[in-house]
Amino acid sequence: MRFIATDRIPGLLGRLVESGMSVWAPQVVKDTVNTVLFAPWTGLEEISLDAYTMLSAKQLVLPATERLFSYRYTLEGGRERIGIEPSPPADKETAVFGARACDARALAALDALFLPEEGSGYRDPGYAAHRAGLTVITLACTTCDSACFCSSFGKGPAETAGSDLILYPVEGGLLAEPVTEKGSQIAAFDIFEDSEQSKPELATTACIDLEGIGDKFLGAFNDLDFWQRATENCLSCGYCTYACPACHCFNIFDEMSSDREGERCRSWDACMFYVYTLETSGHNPRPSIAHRYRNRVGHKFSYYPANQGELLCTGCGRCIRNCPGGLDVRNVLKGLAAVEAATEPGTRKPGPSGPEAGKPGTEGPSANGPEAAR
Amino acid sequence: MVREPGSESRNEYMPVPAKVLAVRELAPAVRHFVLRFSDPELRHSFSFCSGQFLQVSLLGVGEAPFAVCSSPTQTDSFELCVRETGNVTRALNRLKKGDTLWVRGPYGWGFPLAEMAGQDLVFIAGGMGLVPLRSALKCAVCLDDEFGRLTVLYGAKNPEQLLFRDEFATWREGARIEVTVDEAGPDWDGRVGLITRLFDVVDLSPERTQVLCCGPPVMFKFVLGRLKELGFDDGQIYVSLERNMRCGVGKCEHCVVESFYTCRQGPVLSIEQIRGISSALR
Repeated sequence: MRFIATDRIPGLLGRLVESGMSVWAPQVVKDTVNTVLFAPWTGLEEISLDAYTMLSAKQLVLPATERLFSYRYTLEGGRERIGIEPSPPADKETAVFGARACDARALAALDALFLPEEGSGYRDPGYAAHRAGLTVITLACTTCDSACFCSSFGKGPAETAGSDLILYPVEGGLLAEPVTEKGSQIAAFDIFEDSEQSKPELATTACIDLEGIGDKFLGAFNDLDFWQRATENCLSCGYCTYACPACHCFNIFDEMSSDREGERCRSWDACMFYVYTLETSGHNPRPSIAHRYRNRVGHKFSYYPANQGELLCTGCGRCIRNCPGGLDVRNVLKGLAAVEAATEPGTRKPGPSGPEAGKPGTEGPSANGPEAAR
Repeated sequence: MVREPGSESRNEYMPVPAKVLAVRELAPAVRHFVLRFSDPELRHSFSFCSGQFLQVSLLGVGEAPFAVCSSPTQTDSFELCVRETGNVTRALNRLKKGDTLWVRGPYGWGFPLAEMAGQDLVFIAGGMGLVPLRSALKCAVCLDDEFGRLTVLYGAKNPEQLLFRDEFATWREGARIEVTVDEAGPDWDGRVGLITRLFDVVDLSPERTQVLCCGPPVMFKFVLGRLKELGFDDGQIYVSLERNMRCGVGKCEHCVVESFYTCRQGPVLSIEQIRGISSALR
């Protein structure tokens, strides 16, 4: 194993910056006591590896707001012309230092949707460019707090999916274990030295039973009372969706910088908002907080796993830690099993877009679909 | 606009310009646009299926999904029908002949007309639901020999809100058109009442009929009940769902109904395909 002494960490980040990378690391937000966010590190900032970041690392692959294209009206020989210019995909190499296993795993889960295999969906070029340029240097957790529940998801803090290099806290510094070629290149820097130390024991978090959770959710789907009770304290503020490392909803909107020019952007949206599903006609298929929260839980634990083969939750605990209404998704997940037991089996079956949905060739009624038309 | 799914280099969110060839008012706050792509090559390569939708936008205002209301057999131009309800539709309805709007798509799945060949077709439309069905009807009329009897059941709030009234006479040459309104005015000598009453005046043959249906959720409930009574199977009934679709490519999650994406797996689905998805028709 390779080892880096604590006091040489800024040196490592400096090496990454010198290599042309933009480096993001957890930092205490100015004028706050303990609000920690991933922020660009240029050489002087103090990094904070003890606290959990309030927002995840997803902003590095799905920026909170990202331009899709810009447009401009011009006059040419007295005639008005409109030009639109696509945003070039990001070509900047970025390294995030101090992500946690839960953050990294969420990136792997997002890859399934945004970078599907050839022919099984649209590969998002914006996401692809950010993702290809991103190096994830993960700090393995030897401690956890009461909101953490990543141990419910298989390997927990020892998860390697989504990481390029994993750092383990040990006496005097960090042990480095590469996961990918990108990680190996960094671990080969001479700022690291060889070490005989062994990996520390990692944290064991609160654990909930996720066995068959998708079916348990479907079993409780029609019990709207359950969802109303679960969301009694929910303010529908959407914090959980913004803080979540795997939530990826976005809205598309135009922003004018003048009446002659502007840009079309996409930005984070939240399925907990009333207007999120509001249709132009005035009809809203998810009119209450209970409907919306049910969709949020279903998306993470039933629909996304059925469509993409990955849970859309990694147990990071952010939605629990900072929820102003004190909602705890773990209680809801535990409650699902109880509802299912009380519901007659077979009253609700998964629909036709169950496990087969989203796979190539199964997503439409016939050969008369869009692919045929194109 | 020829699509290569999986191509990473293409920015799906880039629209292409189309010019307004003609615009007219169909009903209060509802306008009918005839449009043509500015790119001559695209005018010929553009193809879609009735029921598929486009994302239509004005730069600086925003984007909204619309079903195409012209027949896929119509080349060189395409048509949209816009009811003014929000910012985008308000701005669209101010466009005049010669103005430019922006389009991307088509997205999703339309009505599987090719699979319906040889059968009778019933089009059931409530209000603006006529828009995607007009496309399918015009297509079916165009491909006259391919289908049996064509029947349109159309309900609107009041006579003023009836869309494409001036085309009914032409449609009647190839199809039976039955219309009803919820509230009649003094000049209305047609039927008054809910759309389900139209089932009493037509003679449908469920054993050789496919249903194409689009309208508000409340209409689905009653129409589907009536179709079941008549002996229609879930696999014979296709509905077009309205959802708040944003990206069109199954990423932004706005249009999801439980585990399916309306933009990618819909907006047209058979009742069989959404069996068990209890919130699809709500």
